Amino acid sequence: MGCKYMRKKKRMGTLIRRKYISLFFLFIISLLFVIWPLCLLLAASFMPEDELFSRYLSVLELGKAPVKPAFLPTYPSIMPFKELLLHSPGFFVMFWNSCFQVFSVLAGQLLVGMPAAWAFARFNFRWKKGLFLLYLILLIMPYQVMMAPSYLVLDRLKLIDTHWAVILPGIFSTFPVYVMERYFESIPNAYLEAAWVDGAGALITFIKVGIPMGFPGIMTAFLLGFFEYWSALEQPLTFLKDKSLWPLALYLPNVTADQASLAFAAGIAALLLPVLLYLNGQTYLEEGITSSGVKE
Amino acid sequence: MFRNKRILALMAGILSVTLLGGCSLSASGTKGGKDLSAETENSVPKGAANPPKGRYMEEEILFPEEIRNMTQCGRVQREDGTIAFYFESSEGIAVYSYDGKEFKKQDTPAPGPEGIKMTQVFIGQDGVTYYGGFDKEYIFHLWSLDAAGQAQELFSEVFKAKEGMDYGQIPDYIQILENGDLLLSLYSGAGVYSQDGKQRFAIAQDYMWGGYRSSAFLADNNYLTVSNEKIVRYDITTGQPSGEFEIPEKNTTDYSEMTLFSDGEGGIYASCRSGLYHTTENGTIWEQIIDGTLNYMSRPDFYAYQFYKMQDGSFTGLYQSGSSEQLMLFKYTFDETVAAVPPEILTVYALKENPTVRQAAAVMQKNNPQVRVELRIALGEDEKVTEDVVRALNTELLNKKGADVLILDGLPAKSYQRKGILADLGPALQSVRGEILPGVLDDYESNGQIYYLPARITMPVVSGSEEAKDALLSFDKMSTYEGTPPLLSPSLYEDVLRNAARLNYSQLFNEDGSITDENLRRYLTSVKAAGDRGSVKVSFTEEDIERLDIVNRGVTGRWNADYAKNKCASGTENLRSVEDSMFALVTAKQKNTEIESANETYIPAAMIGINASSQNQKLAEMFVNILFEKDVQDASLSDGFPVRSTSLDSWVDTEKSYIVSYSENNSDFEIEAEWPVKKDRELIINLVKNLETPAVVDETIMQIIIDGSKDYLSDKETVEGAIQTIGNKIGLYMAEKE
Amino acid sequence: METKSVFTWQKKSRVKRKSGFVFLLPSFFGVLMFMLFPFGDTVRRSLMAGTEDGGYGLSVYRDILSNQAFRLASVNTIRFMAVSLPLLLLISFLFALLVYHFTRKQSFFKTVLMLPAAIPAASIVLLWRMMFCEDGIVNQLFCLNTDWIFGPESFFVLVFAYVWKNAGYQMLLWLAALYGISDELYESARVDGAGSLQRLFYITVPQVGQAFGMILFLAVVNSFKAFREAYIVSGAYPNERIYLLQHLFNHWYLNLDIQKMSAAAVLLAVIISVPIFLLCRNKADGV
Repeated sequence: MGCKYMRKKKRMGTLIRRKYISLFFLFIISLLFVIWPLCLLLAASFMPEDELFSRYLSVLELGKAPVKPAFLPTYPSIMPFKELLLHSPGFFVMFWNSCFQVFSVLAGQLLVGMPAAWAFARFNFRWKKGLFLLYLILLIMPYQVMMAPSYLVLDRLKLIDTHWAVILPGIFSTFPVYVMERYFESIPNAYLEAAWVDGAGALITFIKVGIPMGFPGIMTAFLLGFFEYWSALEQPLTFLKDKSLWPLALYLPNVTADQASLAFAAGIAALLLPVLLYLNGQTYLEEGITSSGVKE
Repeated sequence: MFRNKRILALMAGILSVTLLGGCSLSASGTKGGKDLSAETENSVPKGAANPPKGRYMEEEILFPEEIRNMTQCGRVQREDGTIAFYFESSEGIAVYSYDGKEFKKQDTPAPGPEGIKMTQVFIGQDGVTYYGGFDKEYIFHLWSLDAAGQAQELFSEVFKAKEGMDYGQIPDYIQILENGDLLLSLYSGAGVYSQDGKQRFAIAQDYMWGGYRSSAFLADNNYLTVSNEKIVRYDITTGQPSGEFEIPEKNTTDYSEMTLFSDGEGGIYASCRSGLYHTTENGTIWEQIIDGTLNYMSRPDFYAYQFYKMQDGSFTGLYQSGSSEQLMLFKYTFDETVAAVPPEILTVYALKENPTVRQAAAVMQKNNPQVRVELRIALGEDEKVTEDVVRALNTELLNKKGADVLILDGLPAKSYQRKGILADLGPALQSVRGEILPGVLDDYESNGQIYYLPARITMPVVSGSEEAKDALLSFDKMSTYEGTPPLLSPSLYEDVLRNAARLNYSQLFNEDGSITDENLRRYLTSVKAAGDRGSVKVSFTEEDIERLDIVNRGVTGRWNADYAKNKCASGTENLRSVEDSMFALVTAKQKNTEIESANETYIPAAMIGINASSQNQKLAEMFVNILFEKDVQDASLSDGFPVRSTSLDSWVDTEKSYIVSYSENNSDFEIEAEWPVKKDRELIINLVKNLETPAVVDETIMQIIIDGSKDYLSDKETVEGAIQTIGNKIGLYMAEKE
Repeated sequence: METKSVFTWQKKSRVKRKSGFVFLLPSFFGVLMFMLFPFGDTVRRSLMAGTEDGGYGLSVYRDILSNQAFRLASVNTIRFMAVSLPLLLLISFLFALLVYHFTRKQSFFKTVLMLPAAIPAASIVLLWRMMFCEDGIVNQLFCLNTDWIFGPESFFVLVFAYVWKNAGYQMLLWLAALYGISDELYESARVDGAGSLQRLFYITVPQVGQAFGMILFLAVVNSFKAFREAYIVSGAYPNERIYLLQHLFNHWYLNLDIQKMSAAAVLLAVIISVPIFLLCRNKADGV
């Protein structure tokens, strides 16, 4: 948005000043709100065990002592990460399990969810509103409620104890349908009419107009879905008995007191992929918006 | 319409791709998983028409009658594959050879040097038979016999006591090399000595206590041993490592339970709890030869001592039994007629590893070769019981799935019973019912039916003067006890609260497990009054630990040393076996008091139930039956007393040479306890037999009390406030169930 | 809701009418199998009368409506939502405005504000203990002696935790809506001499308002997940004020009280579907 203001040269001075004040303001907020606690976690992940004990004894529930937070470890050590990456083979297996499960779910969600969202947004058919309401209600069901009957279904399909026990129900989550529907709905009519006039059919219009123009929505659904499934605990725990199929989210709670330093390091390591993905996803998000030409 | 069809086709395509992908990938997914988890290995391929046949079967070989009760003092496998067993008999050493089929009495060898008790025999690489033993000073002697039958002592320089020590070097593995050099393994390391007694070089290996190293052997020029938690091959001519192998059993840290032996061709055999494994000279993968979970190799009260490969291809394993300390011989022969993997599977679910259950599994599989018992242990040793695990189990149970047999320790057994999850144990218990302690059986029987029953019980006991014991067992007396030393030793309130709740279970809790405000008040105020006098705290700082000399009970075990040290007036313990009671008995004797059970309460363990929707009712019943049979109940696995009265009686008659001692690093306090005399054993067993009230404190309620009383116990809140907080939460907990 | 005409295929031809359902079919098939069937089973279980076989009835509903625990949990859940939802939506909207107006699209701040959504629950728990335990940072900083974890103040910790974790997530939704507003609107408003506040209230807010329903709905969905960290930090039976429906659901499940749980879930679905239904009908008027 900034460049648009720039064009008005006479107000530029005040605007730039205002912009920097606001940026500073934003910086303070994010510092207070997010960065500060994150730095604590990051610093703790580089602490050797004895320093952790002297600072965070009560945090680890190992004893009682005042918390002495630090943004920088006194005796920085990469041992926790070394331990995590080199000496816990389970960590890598779980990391790849997580990747496989999460990306399969997301790919499936898009494949199945995009057309469904398109249908809800751009077609009229019998029972549409009822179905949509149903999709929303299913979204709000607490996981405990769905767990037992879902198990029944997965067991009948012989999927228990395979990656697919987690992936398939994830694919058919109604969440991405709902998110994308909203974005598809906001595509201006003119584009669809133009496509129709050009003789494009429903499928072509969906692929040529719907997907590019709904891209921000698709990307949003993708990212939000990623955060959700990356930290999913309950389903894998119930549907996967074989621990070699477990995702990373289940590794973390098992970090015990004598591996205190691992607890922090594992948290930071688990954070890494979402951050990288988000940074990349952001690029696509922006590209998606510009290429769709919503703003022309 | 044409377009519609195309869309339809596309959608159908997407669907089928997803589903097909699902199927094919799911198959590979499980396969990948199997490699990593030993527990689920070898599951039967369902619907296979011709299951593969052939596996090693286990058979006990009894020593001949005349030597069965003699003490073994050595064994060696000879060139021809036979094993010679050496026994101490009244007429000197008796030798019996075993060739895989029968025992033959052999000539008695010439006696060794005067005054030496022989403990081992081996054949050196030079083909000479060597003998070893200890004298009265506990100095090791090594000798061979010359042509005239005269004992020739060797390497005596090496073994004699070093200056300032009152015992000599104790070898845990020993061999003579082809050139006459000595390979000597000690508890901390090994070395090769030339004939003049000088050490040529040292070999690094892992520390192992006990005077017997089963995980080491010498074959040709290679010495194999465990070093840095890996199996390492050393070249014995140079002392340099020449190869390295992973331990075949994952998660094993106790290498004293692993035996290693040569295959004669450079490869290695390794026997662990999970089975017998083999790898070639430069192999990287262990091949499982015998599945130990199917036989006594996995029996927790058996310890593998030595394994031998016989010439006919069978294996012979020598075990020691934990309860009788007897050596036993088992033979493993390949049977082509038996299915490679037992066709019937019985699954047993438990939150935590439980030796009694493992024992029952081993016994059941041994007696029923067609059955495989699959133990599903949900949590590792130091993992806490989480709701997630119970939720996962509940999901299965709700769908009429789940394991056939459930070990209910830590699970909501009452809820399961109410919801019809559990089957009546009546038929399973029929043959053993009369043997089970009536005091225990009655608590679980309602309308003639039993839905779950503990296979083990532990007994909380109190010791101290009469007043002190009374104070522990009654809240009113606890709050008024004013003796010195104080009633309680410096410890955490959490432990004291738990202990007090257990000891006073029936006077504290209502029938449904809840607690009245009045009882809660008496409980909290009494614990606080006694606790304040005894420096009990909610949590300790570093200085507290220093000043009050707090013994970390998590490390020293269940025994309360503070009472023996006169730091407090009473001791409480939760006894699990006769061994467990040794310290308590000695302390009581020193103080001229007697130990007593806590109002006849006991804590049930290894609580078993059968899943009512199990497809294997018959097998499940058999498993339950075995759990209460002699083979399992008699074994002492330090997870609780047996509930079978004849098994309890057998402990009264058991004599053992067993001594435990306890000392602390920073004080001269020391205590030693011997195996209890018959009168004391009787006392303990009689206490167990009289127990009649189960004390299972609802963990949720206990946690609510501990959390809610913290502020009161550290003087930050009034007792009324604590009662209200706790009362509200317990009320909520009870209301959920309405 | 403002009226807005949406181009749909149905207007153009009768043939296209069916193809809408074709688009929906794969999703519907899966939802039927993995969501709808389980939900139907839940409804069935909730109607079963007592533990005895056979017979259906509403007795379980009567039981839970008079159940103390259920009432408390419902009231607490409503209170929690009443406090935290407006707070979350407001804060995330402000974040979105700041990010939208004053940074490039590839903003460092946007990423930073999103981070809390990605932190694993186990790490968040460590963080909360650092901040809120008895000797924690908050108490030290303000010289307090408050029991943030077990005391009544834990309610605020729960609200804070929820807002902290979800602010970035919700911001992303707001931002997407903001990017959807066409620049011409602002341009012409500026030409007409509208100030920045006026532009905010007359363009941004109404334009973004269309997305409000969705953003609120997702905030509600996520509020059901807020209890996970509370559960780990404050235990199964936390302070009375933060005992939420999720706690109750969890305990019922652990005790195998499936009927009660199913009935409560069906009630929840009914209650939630009323506003959604109204929302949908509103929209329908516009088409």
